[in-house]
Amino acid sequence: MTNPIADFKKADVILITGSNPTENHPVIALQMIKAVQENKTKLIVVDPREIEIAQYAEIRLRPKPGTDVAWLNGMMYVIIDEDLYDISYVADRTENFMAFKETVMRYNPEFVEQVTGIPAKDLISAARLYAKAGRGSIAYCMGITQHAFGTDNVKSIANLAMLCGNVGIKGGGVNPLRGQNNVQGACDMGALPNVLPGYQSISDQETVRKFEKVWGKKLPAKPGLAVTDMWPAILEKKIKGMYILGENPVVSDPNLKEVEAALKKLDFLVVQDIFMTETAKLANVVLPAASFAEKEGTFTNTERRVQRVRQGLDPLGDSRPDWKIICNLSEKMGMPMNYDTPEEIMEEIACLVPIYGGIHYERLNKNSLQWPCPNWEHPGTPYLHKDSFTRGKGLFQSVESILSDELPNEEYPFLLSTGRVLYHYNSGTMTRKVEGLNLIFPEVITEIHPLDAKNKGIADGSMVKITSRRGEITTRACLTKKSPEGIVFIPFHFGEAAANILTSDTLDPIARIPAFKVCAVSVEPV
Amino acid sequence: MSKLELKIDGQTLWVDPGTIILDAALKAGVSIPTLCYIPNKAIEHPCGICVVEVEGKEELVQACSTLVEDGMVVASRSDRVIKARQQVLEQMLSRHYGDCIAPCSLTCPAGINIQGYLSRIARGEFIEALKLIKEKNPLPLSVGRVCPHFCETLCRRILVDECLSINHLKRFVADFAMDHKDTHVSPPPPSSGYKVAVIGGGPAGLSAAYYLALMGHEVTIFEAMPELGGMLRYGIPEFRLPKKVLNKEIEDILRAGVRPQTGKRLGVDFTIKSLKESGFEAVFLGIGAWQNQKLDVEGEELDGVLSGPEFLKSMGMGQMPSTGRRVAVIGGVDTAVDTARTCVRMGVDEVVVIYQRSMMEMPASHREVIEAEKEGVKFIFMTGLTKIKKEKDSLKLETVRMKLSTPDKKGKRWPIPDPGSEDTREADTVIVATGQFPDLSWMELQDEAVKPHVLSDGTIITGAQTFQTSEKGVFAGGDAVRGPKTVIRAINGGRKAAEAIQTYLSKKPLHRYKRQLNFTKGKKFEDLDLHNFENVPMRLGEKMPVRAPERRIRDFDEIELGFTEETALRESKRCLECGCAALSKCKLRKLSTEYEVRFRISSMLKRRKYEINSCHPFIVIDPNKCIFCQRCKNSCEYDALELTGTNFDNDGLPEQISLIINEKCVSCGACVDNCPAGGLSKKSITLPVDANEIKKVKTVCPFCGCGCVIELNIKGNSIVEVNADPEDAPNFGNLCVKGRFGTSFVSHPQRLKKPLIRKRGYFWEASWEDAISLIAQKFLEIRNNDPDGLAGLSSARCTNEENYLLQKFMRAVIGTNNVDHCARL
Ligand code: SF4
Ligand code: SF4
Ligand code: SF4
Ligand code: FES
Repeated sequence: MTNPIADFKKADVILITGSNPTENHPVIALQMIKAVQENKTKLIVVDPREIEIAQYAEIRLRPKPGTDVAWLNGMMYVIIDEDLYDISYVADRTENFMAFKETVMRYNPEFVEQVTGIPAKDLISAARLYAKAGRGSIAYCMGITQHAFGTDNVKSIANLAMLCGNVGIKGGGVNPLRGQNNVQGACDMGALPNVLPGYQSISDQETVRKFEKVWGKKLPAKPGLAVTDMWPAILEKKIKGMYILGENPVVSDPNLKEVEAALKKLDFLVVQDIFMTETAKLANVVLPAASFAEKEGTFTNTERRVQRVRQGLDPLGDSRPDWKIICNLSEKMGMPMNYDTPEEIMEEIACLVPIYGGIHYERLNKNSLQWPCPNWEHPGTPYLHKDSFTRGKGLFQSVESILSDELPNEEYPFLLSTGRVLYHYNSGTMTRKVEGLNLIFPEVITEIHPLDAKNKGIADGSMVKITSRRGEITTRACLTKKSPEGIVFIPFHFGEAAANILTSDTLDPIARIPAFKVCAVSVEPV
Repeated sequence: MSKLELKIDGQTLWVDPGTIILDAALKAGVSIPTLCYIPNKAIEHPCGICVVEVEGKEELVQACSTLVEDGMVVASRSDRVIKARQQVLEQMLSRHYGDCIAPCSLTCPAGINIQGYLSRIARGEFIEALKLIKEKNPLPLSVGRVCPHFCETLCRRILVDECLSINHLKRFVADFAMDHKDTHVSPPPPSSGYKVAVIGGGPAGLSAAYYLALMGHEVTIFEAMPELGGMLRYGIPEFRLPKKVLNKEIEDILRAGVRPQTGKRLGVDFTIKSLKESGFEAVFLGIGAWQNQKLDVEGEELDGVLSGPEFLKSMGMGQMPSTGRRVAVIGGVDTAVDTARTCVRMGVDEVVVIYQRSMMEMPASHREVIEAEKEGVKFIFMTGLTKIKKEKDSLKLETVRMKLSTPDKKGKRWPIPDPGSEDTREADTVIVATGQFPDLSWMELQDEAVKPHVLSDGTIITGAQTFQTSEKGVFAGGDAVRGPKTVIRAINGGRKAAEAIQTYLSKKPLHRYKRQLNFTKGKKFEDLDLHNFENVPMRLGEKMPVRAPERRIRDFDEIELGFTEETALRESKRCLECGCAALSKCKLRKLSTEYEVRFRISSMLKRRKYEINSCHPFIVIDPNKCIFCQRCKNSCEYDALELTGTNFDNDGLPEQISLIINEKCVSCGACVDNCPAGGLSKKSITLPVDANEIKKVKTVCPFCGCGCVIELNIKGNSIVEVNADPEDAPNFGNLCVKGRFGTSFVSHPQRLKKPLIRKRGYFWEASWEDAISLIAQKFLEIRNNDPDGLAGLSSARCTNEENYLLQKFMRAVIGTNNVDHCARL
């Protein structure tokens, strides 16, 4: 997020798209709702599904899935066409406006209506509302990124925010809501194949030398494989061994049949987790990890806030914190890592990662800090791009709408969308061990529009079979108008009927994020 | 804007216009109690607890809603204010129906959190249960075998079917830990630098020593006998408490850092004076009551007349006194019964116990009497001994039937001889076990200058709560103070004295504890309405397996065999969980204690007025405990809590309330954490604990990317509940269902606890060493061939440090950039 969470309350308008905050980020949703109720903030909700927060919205748009670039460009068309954009901001702080404008001007509302199904007049009012309100914030989530062209969607959102001068101001910003507690930290710490910690390039020689000096080892030059490219590499026998920490790709990855086949093909698999997950069951060695409550450390949340994780309990049984296990293993392999505490690791991070340069436990024990925080004196950065963009000027990027190759046809007439529900989390490893949560949400369901259900002869609560080009699962049907006609929704927390058996592993060419959100399926009563 | 001047309890301060008195007071460091107050909310029916007196105003005003005016003079603790607050509380109490603490825990002389450990047993957390017990009782193996279990006598379950076998469960967890070699003894804390002497290695001394050692003091136990244990070793026979078990128990206590000095007798090897001179800052006297009471009958001094305690003592030392074929035991205390049962096992043909009153008045445990009868001991009640005579090689006992006198002034009836009922009987040995008192012969010594005052019955006088004797720095507890009582009482005395010694050593005044107020649904069973138990299905209790009498009398092996895991689980699940789950958060109890509100049980409600509703997955609604502060309703952001009152009376409280959570509820838990009483409580809290027993740890919620700060409330090694601090960004006290209720997975029984290695298709538990070696070997094989043949996946659930280390491991140790994590957003 470019802005802190507390900022939603300061916004005049919030555009929420591809995010279902009441289910996925309930505490953030609460602040948005309070903003509406107490501060007269206006909401624009753009989502194919009838999500709960939409009841607080001034304007709601329901585009066809996979048409985000089209409606975003359409909105910008209106804003430019009606001269509602922030001319001085565009002039002073951005570049490449003219080329970008040329692209956008091909998306007039009538054309956009054809592509997205959003009535032209609604699009126009949404554009006016966003552009005219003072401070505009955009919140988005996986509904935007989990597409074959998720990177395009994100660029388009950035264009819209810059166009209205909403980046770098209080109450504005481009705010991706991170789904998992420390996914931000995992990225920050360089658990990525193409960058070193702190998003430092693996091809920058100076950086590499810095790391090599501290680590005392030569670094590999060749970029690594992204997780979604690892599976094919295993099947091709290029990868033979794997070390998986706290993840359950057998349930959470797209096209999980392939994932399972790949994991089974490995010569050696090590899984380190707190429960015997579906993935752990395939391992050669399973190592018991300590839970979050049993270790010290830090997490970084979606607003780049680095916070202390504190130990309250002794590790259960013989389990150990992940950092200790890695140290043990590293030592056995001939490279001792001599850390006695996570704090010592953070000290190393601070000296190698400029954005974490001023982050020390001594400070965190008093207050959390938002990165970039380059040194001891720096107070942290609640607002990104405040006076200038990281790269200097904000770059407008021309983005064209491309249609998904997973469109419904006669055989697979429905679009499937997957996601989370309030009461569970990811592959369910943790939440499905909580009695009360299972009581509320015991099993996987397929949400389907009552009219679709009627046509197919499906009754509420009856069992249905969902089939895609990649597999099939059976679930209970739940008739609801939340999904528009032609779209069904399945939460992905349930290993026994994992929605990701169905989904496509078509990847976004840049971010390598799978297109969970668009997948054609058929739905039949059982 | 100019500031307003305000004087509160004599302090002057300036505040901004628009400040309420409550906030102004806080600024001045004056805390005013609140119940219904939530910042910036208008309260429909104010509770009135926050009233203060404002000069010039006739009526008291509510500090939470009254704005400061310039020149205001406020008194926040005047008599009038206190009275008014007391009245508010009294009104609330008169409608409050619940038990703060379960009757079992209240009845236990050591105050063990019984309901708490039963719930831990029910969840299979046996070691955690044991830890709770050991907070109050360091001798659970022994007490679990010999305690007369006072707690069970008031167990509410008897109103359904049978009381719980609490003591058997205690023994079970203690045995479980012993069998699994799980000593769970934490290493001794850093030394405090103080030396404390404990005189007497019995239950009181061991208990005092254990807790003193845990506080960091250097403790030495001086014991006159060759081994530690006191009555447990030398007074309780092997078949009730095996020495092997006792030794284990003592070993655990010594491991806490206690030094034993056995074979050292007070008055012979040292004096209190000499201890003080050699640097012991405090002394605990736990010398027990070893002196046998005299019978005062002719012939008492004859050969063949033995003392019960002496008899058991020599048994405990491994000797076997000869008794002949016929033994008569005189007395009705536990020692008498133990002596008789020991004789049976020694092969004595005829064992009788002669006691001058009926079985009802007998101080010995009735259960033991019944077991003794099964073993062939004959009890002759209402019979007094008048004379013992030597006759050839045996003894002749002259006895008389007793009857009860007419009641004395206090209404007590005494046994008196019934003339004309004289009788005689023969015995080879007479063993006298009528009662004991402390041996104080050491006080007679010349060089003992420290002589605590004693009562006429020979017990040492101490302050009721200070445990200090008339001599400064000399404390006492156990049988030496209270006369011969149960083991658990002695243990409690030892622990309390240890606490007092701690206070003494830290140079603080020895104080009286302010007792917390405890509501109860009724102290006696008669007070309890059976209607309360209507919906509880009957399930009879588990029985302790015992060896058959005809087998067990042939040896000294233990009689009771102990519960199995299955019986323990079944039995513990019968507990009705009487104590209140809202105990740690309850402001009503706290304020009522603070304001010393008196309430009479007779004026309290007699039966449950409303059904308890546990339909909600996480929250129990008990309107019987609701004080109608409306905080729940006012804190719910989702319009999901419906609270209405009807027929308001003069005190402004409703006659009838209705409290419902509707379908809009998202289970965020704001209401339950805002409820200052037990109207709403969390289902997950099965362990009622006092607020000061909870450790609070701030950390970050492990679920979504919002990163809410959560506060773990921890007791032992488990999370009791989770809440959030309104001061902390980014969530400012808000949480969702997962943060507030979803962390119980950390103690789920399915957690992985050991490394597992797959062999021939199955997982086998392995040591860390083996698992790590195997991985290192395999990874090296692959790496040496091609570093890019390995890939690592890190996790959004791991900390930054761990993510950093994994990528460092992959890049620096393996030499590949094949590292990623699963989720991209
Ligand atoms: S039912 Fe449970 S809590 Fe209640 S008195 Fe009996 S043992 Fe104690
Ligand atoms: S749990 Fe949350 S939503 Fe439900 S009634 Fe309580 S405060 Fe309202
Ligand atoms: S349930 Fe609790 S918070 Fe609600 S009115 Fe009753 S006492 Fe107050
Ligand atoms: S009236 Fe002030 S706290 Fe209730």
